[in-house]
This record gives sequence, structure tokens and C-alpha cells, in this order.
Amino acid sequence: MAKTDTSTTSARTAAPPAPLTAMAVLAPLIGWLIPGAGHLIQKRWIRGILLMVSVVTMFALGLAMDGKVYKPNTGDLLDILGFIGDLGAGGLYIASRLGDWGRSVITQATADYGTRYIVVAGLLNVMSVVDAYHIAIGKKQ
Amino acid sequence: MILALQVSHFTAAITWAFFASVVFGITQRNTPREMVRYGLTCLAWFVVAGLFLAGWAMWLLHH
Repeated sequence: MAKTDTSTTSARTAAPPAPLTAMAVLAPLIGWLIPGAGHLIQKRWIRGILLMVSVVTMFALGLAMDGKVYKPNTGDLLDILGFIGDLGAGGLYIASRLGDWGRSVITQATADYGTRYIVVAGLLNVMSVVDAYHIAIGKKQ
Repeated sequence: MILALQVSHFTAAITWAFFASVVFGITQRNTPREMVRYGLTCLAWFVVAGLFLAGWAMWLLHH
């Protein structure tokens, strides 16, 4: 019976741990607070600007469509999920809460589109933050 | 009172697809050429599958 070479398999799968540098902490944090800024501080200018424009525009369009900005602790499961999505937008979400932007109740179809825009802007910013982290640890150029 | 931006479902979906594709392209690929290709692929899929196929499927279910 053929023996499986487990030592080779484990050596292939075990990747070295990513180095914890200041940039690996700063880039995701700043990228979360200001969409695209995690790339900009790593001198990925075009990517950073495109990410910033995309996320900020989606969030702004969502607000312009009278989209709902979710609040924590409403008790409704869907609201909690919406809140998690919105929170991904970081500084934009904080600004919208401080400025009391957006609606608390959806009253028309366009506002429903706006609500989705705001949630998706947050989720896209999470993807952007993860990408900034991968660049910071050298996993991506 | 500031009036809300009024857009059609189609315009909203196309705009959504465009910005989502930009972010998908940048974050999911490594080289600029691959990013552009993947972004365009995502946009095409969002428009073809998300808008036209799903749109016609919903129309058929409705009628």
C-alpha cells in the first residue's frame, strides 16, 4: 500500500506568519476610517483614488436617495445585519450618524435603493480594507 | 426640504454594478491588466445575469 507523504503536504500548506508591522495595523485602520486611504498611504495612488471615489460616491448616492442609515441595538436581525454593513464604511458611517444624515424609515422605492447603496458601500470598503492589509504584509503588490 | 434623488431601477442597478465592479477588480486581482479585465468581467456579469436574466425571470414569474 502506498504511503502518503504527509511531511511534504504540511510543509506546502504551512505559510510563514505575516510580519506585524506598523503599516499592517495602520493601513487597514486608516482605510476603514477614510475609504481608499489605506492604499494611498502605501503609495498606491490610482487604486486608492478609485476605491475612494467608488465607496464615497456609492455612500453619497445612497444618502441622496434618502436611504436608511441603520442604528445598532434595534433588536431586529435584519437591522443588525444592515448596521454591520453600514459600519464597514467607517468614517462615512460615523459622519452620517453625527450629522443625522439619511432616513430612519424607508418611505419610497428610491429610498430602498439608497439603503442598499449605503450597505454595499460599507461592504466594499471592508474589501478595500482587507486589500490594504494584504499589500501591507506583502501578500499583494 | 431637500428632495431625494429619483432614479429608475435600471439606472440604480447599472450605477451599483459599475462601482462594485471597480472595487472587485482592484481588490481581487494583482496586476493592473488583470484588474481591468476582472472589473469588466464583473460588470458584464452584473449587467447580463443580474439585470437582464433576473429581470426577465421576475417578469415571467409576475405574468
